[in-house]
Amino acid sequence: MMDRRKFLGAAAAGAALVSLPTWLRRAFADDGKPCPSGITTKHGKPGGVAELFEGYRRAQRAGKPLLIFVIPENDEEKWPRGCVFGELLNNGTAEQLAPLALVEVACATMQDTRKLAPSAGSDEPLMVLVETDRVPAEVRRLDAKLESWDGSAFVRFPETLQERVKNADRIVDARIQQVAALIRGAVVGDEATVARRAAQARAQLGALDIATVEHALAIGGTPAPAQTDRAAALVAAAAFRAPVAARHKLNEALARAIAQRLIKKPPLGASWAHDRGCATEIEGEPDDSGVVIGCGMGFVPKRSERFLYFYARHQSI
Amino acid sequence: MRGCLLFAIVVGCGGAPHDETAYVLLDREAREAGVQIEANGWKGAPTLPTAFDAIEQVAVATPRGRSLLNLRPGSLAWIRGPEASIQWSRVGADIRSDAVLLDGRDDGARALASLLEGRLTREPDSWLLEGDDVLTRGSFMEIPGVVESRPIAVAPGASATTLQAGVQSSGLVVVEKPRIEVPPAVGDTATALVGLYQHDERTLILDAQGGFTLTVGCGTPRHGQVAVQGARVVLKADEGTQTVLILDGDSLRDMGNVRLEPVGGR
Repeated sequence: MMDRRKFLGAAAAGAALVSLPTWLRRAFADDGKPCPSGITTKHGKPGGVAELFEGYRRAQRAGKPLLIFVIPENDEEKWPRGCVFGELLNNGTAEQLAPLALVEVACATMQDTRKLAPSAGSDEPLMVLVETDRVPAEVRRLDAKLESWDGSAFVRFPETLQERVKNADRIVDARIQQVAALIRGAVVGDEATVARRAAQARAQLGALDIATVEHALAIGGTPAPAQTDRAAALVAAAAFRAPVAARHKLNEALARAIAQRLIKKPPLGASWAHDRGCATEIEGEPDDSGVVIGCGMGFVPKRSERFLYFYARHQSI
Repeated sequence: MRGCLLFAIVVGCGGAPHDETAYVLLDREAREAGVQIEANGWKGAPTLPTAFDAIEQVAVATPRGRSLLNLRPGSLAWIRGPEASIQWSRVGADIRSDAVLLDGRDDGARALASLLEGRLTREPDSWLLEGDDVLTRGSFMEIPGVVESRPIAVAPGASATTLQAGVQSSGLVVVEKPRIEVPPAVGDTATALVGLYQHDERTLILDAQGGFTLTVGCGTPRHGQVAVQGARVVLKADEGTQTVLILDGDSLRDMGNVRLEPVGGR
């Protein structure tokens, strides 16, 4: 994996100057005082851990499990990890994205994850799935060894730029498939798992929601996106039994349903950002400061440009 | 509620006709695995068959979740093993309505026979209890010393033939796997309480695995286990101390009336 910090440091030498965005100034300026307990503060309130518990609360109330995208403690690994999730969320097929409708998603470090789920373990898997149907919760670690694309600024002879792009595309494809398969295996699994998730969701849904969704499914239609999101497990259960064409239609509905809370907006604990090999732009953050950082040119595959930004107090950039 | 139901069935005064009565029986393995019957706010694991009105909403609660049981009028649902498999038998057609086999101590079997005015016969390793409508009349009775009761197959010419697992008198195997439909109700309060709470310098985390972490300022955190007893949330610290908090809306209140508020609102 490319060393992002070194890349930016080197690039700063002859680079243009850009403003340090508000979020970063804020992050350096007033982000909290870590206690020995590990509960840090952000703007006077508990930071990442509060967002993680908020994610659990949303998941529990929606009758869904909580899927945690693990933020690496090491700053140098934050950007590549954010690209992995960005690649799936922004480029995954309906079949690959559909299982995400059955979960609430939050991004958190393992230090914070262990506060919610002490048995989550010590090292850093890609994701952790926390069930919300009971206490003590069942906790699953989802991990895979992923290949990395070369993001260095210069093409190394005899490699051509076309070869690099082609190789990066292959790696992005493989990563999307691997991460999607991990999520599908844990979230959807088999028909019994989906039935269990449907029962949990049903217990949280209103009678009207259930009736509307069941009617839409019974006549071969799909519920509205917001309703599909709330009743995702019921839709997934129907997809399990449906013939191929109908299943694809239901998966498309599930994939559309996550757009608002995961793709348009970022999941809890992260921001969406863009990087085309130069400056990083954070979505929703006004770039209004006079503080400057260096910018250089690097290689970022097209499908990795939009990524989840896991900024932190000690973010190095 | 249960008392009224039993009364109605036993005396036949305004109660459901016999063929609209349905029965549920848990076997010993199921009971030992924590399987229970739930109906109208009542929950239990009786050793004798339990009679219900067939239109009652009855659920089988297992440690893995609850399964709604669609009662069949005039039939017994025999819930078996930790998996809570259901074996259906028609009372009168597949099994006898006037007899059960009892396992346990002699004094227990005799006490039950006396209460039901039944006849008791010694069988190898068990007792045969016969009497008018014992299936219904033994409902909701708990007799110390009786550890298991089993239905008896209707088998002309043969006495006290225990119903074989999965086999009806017709020879058909009729066993249903339970469909877990509802997560356990017990966990609902506990999962809703998982969160981060604060008051001044005090921060309390109730984690998703039944533990807690209590930190005051930047002091050393205290850890332990949480027990939820109705509106009481008991923090049992690893070092042996115990703190009781009261669930008050979304907040947790201690005995000094200090309210720990959920962070971020709930």
